[in-house]
Amino acid sequence: MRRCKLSWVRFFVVFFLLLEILSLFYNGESLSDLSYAKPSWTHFLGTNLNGQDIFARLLLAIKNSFWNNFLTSLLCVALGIFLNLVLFLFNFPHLKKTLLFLAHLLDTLPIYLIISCCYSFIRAFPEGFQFFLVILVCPIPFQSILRKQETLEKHQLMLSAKQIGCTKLYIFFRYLFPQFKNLLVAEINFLLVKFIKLEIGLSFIGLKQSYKPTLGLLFAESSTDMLKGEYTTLFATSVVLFLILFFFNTSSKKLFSENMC
Amino acid sequence: MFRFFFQRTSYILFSLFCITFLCSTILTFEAPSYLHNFLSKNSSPREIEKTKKLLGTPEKTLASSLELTLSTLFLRPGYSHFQRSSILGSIKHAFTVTASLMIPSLFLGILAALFFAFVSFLDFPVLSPLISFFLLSLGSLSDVVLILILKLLLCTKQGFHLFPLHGWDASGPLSYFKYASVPILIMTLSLLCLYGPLFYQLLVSEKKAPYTRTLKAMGCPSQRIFFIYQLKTASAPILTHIARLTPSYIIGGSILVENHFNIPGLGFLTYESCVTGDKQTILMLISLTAFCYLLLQEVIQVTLPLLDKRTDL
Repeated sequence: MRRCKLSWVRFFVVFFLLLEILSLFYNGESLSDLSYAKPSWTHFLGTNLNGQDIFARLLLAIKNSFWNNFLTSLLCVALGIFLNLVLFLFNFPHLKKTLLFLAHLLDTLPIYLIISCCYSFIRAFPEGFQFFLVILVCPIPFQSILRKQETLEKHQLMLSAKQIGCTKLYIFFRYLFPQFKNLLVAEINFLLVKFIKLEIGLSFIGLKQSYKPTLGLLFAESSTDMLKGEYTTLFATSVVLFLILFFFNTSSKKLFSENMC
Repeated sequence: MFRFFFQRTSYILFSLFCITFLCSTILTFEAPSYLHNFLSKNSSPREIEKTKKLLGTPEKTLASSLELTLSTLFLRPGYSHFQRSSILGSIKHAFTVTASLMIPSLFLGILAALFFAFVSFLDFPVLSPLISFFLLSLGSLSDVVLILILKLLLCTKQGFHLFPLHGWDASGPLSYFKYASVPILIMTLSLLCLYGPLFYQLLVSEKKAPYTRTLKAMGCPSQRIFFIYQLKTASAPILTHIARLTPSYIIGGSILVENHFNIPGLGFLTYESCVTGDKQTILMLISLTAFCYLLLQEVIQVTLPLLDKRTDL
């Protein structure tokens, strides 16, 4: 892990594959006649109120939450890169000012409030929620890439590349992009944690509706299970969430600090 | 100086107008009509028109969104048919409830975060690595997990059953303690999760700064280095982060906690108005939060140079 900074990307791939393989074995939400059955060989973590296997649901929830939020954070970073590319290619000072102002405006408001402002839209198109998040959170990667880009633009290498007549597009992808790819991985990690937490919060209070099991939905279910004296879903989901967030928090911190160095 | 204040005030006002107008446009064009909530089955067209007039349902035009923006900015939001009271009155009432929860939790949370960051910074042989690991672990906890686990431990019969499951009564100090303790504890811990790792990182970055090495080489005692130089330099980013994260934390945290414990604060009001489609209340809450955020940012920008001479006006 220490030798190659991008080994985190490999971890992503392995994690995805593992989830896919596991969900092949525990496909669907296998039903049992018993509600709140005790853990056994057929149901590793027992069953919930509706007799659904908790382990199968947990795997599906991790897979769904992880994929959705990973794709959203990827899109967010892609949008950030695109905006920076536009600024780098055309160098419009007014466009830069406007984009920074818009980024500041979006940064000003808590995401919960903006989501509540567009709640009916999100309720009508549950899939549109992810698209909405991309627009809301893209200022974060945009601003951090811009900061890095501005420091790199004054670098000797960039000045020399300009002197020998390299095109701006070539400079961006050949010299600038490799310089901030570590930052991008760190940003994806950071955003992933943010999105998972947000999704859990919104599903928990019922502002985000989902037809598939997600981590937030499991927490919402576990709050009613808890009052009936059943804690398996709560503990299993809490432990899994903690491990996922802990890994991504640690990795993003490490990547950010490496990038700062 | 006068020019600076004029510039910053106009910037705040312009930003506030932009935010409110953007949100009011979204609300005007995208929000569906909730007219059916106020109509009986098989209502006549006359009844529909009458209810429309009573509710003041705006048309989906830019002019109506501008009207909505101006009424919000000039603090004339009117009457909410959903809350059955004046919007400003319900916001004032909700604000007092949220403030009674937030002020103690903000104070305790920031103090606890500073304390833990300080202890882990001081390089005690076993305690400091343990606390830094604890802070990193806290950062990985979701607010929802905190709510559920603390509720299970303190409010249910399976746990200690010390406090009520939900509800709100602040008529006296005892009832306030009874109903507010668990929400305050949750918010304090969630603030510790948010600020603890951050403050620790900021203090550690000061430890690695070149000036610390120079001071150590000059033989300056470590207490003097910490209290006179490092804490002073680190306080600038700490204040900036507090100003940046606190408004969104107050709204986000209060939505989760107040909804779960049925506390009639700002978070509960936001949720209610969002579910019922009460545009005016949502817009009023948005513009108030944005104003608080922008004002805090400006206050921090003015006070920063007093703490750190490098960040000059």
